[in-house]
Amino acid sequence: MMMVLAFVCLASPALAVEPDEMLDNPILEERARLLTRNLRCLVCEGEVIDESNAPFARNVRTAVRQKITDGASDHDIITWLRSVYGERIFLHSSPRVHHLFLWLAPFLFIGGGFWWLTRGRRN
Amino acid sequence: MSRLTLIALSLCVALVLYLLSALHSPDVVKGVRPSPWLGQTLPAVFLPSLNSDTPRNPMPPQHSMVVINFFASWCFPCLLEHPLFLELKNNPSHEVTIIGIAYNDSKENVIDWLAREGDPYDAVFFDMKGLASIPWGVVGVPESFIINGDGIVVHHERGAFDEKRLATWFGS
Repeated sequence: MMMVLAFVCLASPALAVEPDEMLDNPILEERARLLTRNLRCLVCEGEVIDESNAPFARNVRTAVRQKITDGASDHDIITWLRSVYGERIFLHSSPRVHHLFLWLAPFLFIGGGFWWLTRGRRN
Repeated sequence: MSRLTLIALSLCVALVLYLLSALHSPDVVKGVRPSPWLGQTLPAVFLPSLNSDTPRNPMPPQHSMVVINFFASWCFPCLLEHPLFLELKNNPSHEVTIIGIAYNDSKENVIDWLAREGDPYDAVFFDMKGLASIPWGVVGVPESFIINGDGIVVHHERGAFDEKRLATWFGS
């Protein structure tokens, strides 16, 4: 029983950003956190780079912080990430016109269905 | 059935068929992201190698095809593709340079692993803190690039190579 409890406690989610990764400047560190919170860990789907312990996630966190220290803007970093990993690295991808269809499809279908049903009743 | 019902039904069937076919497309099944490097040259990186701690460019002077293979001694799927690289190296009909890049690995473990599994690499470099994997967009092991004589990336394999896909570049 104690063993089980111990394992449960150990398994509780740890903050993945380790102290040695953090930037000294709290404002820059906050920028890094905000950026990496919107990045998908590509080797551990479902995890966020900010919270993942995978070596890949750690490398990306370090690289983002390095770029921030080098004076890159958020926009520069996002453009760089997109060019290297593609759109998939972002949890919230930038909107595209054809995404509109995806958002409107349920309304189109339900609305169309209602229209069809009421039309049938009238006949 | 009225004409409208027929049209609505056939549209629904068409949509379902389209979604089913999209679901079974090889890209979705393998979870493949298109590689941004096809047709491009990889940015230069400088890495320590098995023979020297002084970082240097792992890219050999170009004249033949180059395979860049990210591997690790702790990586199980790497064992699946490893025999293919050994075979490629021992096949005299292909002029190819195979460069190994050990990902998050130690010198001792890599030396042990190569002694045990065989060494197909012309040179082995070390990528410890994402020095090469970050600028090249490599997310894990195994992952490989095939580069032609002009230094252009012609193939980017995420995950282990299988015999068929490697043979499309180096057929026997």
